[in-house]
Amino acid sequence: MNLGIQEKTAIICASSKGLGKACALMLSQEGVNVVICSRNYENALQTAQEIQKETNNPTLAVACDLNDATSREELVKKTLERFSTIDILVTNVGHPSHGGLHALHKNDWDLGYQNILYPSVHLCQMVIPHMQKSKWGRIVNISSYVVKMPNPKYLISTVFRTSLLALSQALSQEFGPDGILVNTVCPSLFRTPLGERLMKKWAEQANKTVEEIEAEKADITQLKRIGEPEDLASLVTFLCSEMASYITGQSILLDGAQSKHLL
Amino acid sequence: MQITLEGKNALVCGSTDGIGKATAIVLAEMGANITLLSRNEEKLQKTLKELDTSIQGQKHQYIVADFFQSEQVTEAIKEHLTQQTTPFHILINNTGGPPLGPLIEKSSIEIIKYMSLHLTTFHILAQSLIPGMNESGYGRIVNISSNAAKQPLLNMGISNTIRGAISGWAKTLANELGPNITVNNILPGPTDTKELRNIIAGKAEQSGRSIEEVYGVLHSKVPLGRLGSPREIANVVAFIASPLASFVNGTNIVVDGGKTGSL
Repeated sequence: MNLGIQEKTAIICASSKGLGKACALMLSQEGVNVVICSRNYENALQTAQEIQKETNNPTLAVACDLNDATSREELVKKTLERFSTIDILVTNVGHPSHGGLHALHKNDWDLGYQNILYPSVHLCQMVIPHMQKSKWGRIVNISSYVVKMPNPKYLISTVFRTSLLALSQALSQEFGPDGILVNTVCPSLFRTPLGERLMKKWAEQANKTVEEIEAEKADITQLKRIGEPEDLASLVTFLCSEMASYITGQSILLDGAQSKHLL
Repeated sequence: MQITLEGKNALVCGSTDGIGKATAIVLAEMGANITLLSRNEEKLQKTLKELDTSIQGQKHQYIVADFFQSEQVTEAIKEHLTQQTTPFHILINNTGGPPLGPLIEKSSIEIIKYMSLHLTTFHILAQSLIPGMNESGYGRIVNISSNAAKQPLLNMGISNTIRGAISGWAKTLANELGPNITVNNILPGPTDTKELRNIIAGKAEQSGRSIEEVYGVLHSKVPLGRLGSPREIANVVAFIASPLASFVNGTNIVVDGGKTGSL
């Protein structure tokens, strides 16, 4: 089955490791020109070279601090200089302060906005005109399953990642006539460097082993395992493909039925 | 990203027209062995000839059964399973939509009739096939519902009611089953099927407008400005039925060109 996205160009945020890297690799395997970005240029370059070696398709490494507007502008500029177009954007931003209402201060909320919502808004503003020109575009925002099942211990993440759903849905309506599809993917705990860090922290807090924590987290999913980056990459790649040409404005849970709610 | 269903046996219901037929065709293209289930044997024979057989050993067959007769479906599937040496891995629950009209005007007999057509038959088939899925270690139950499950549609009283029930039924199964069986709903929006064409012709006649005008109104409600094709729905079904979607469980995925404006 040909996914029909060869030679498209994709910016994948935070793609030197974890979920971003898995998405970049799978898109590159489909013949997409992938732009790998990370705060650390060496990390981005290493991943870009690794992917290019494996797939034989062009990659570009860009140093980018997604929390910085100038850096985001550079990311888009360098992508256009190299590939002349942008067809796909996968946003994957922010890991905000955790805690409930009284543990969080104004600065934490400001950072939640600056590091989760606004980078996605700004990137969409910059890339959509290029997608409009070619009358084809795919934007996939990586959010979190907390948007469907709010977690009071992760209040900022819950609130701002939910705002990504509203952004995606509104943009899907505004730019649908231009052939631009905008969707959100909502993953639970995944085996990424971030996920592993979190499990280590929870293990220390509970005086348990990391393996015990993972077993507990696996047990609350119906599939008895945590997510693997490839699970997310498959869904994102599918949504970016020609096969998903009638899906837009959706938020799709990817949690192995950990969430027990209905819709 | 290779979406392959080679070696998988799929039971595709309501598969001689529209979305069901497109699903059978796409799953066959991906290598699955298809068993069609519908009531009209002539149409079944015709559809069978349209299924791809390019994979070595790929075989398709059909079962004649009327979804309106749940006992007939029970007997037919029971008999089929006693003869079949390998289990079904994939169940596509699908059948035609109920008649139009406001809910308040519908009799309890009609509600029971269509609840049985959809929910009872879906349940009988799931119960019949789950032991085989457990045995083989691979199970995908994909229910074709409607975007009415998220946003009830005007003048589709019975359909809206049944779609909600299917969501509750499917999520409950997703919460009960696992770890190798997933249960998901696909919620198509306006799709270019014979059923919809008939509805549109009826609306045009009732309102004294031309068919083109009625289409125009419908298109204007979809951000992508067009109806979906049965294949666009079938593509999503195929992805969810594939090993690539092994962590997608208990979801309702709307495929409607952005028409449903909810989060």
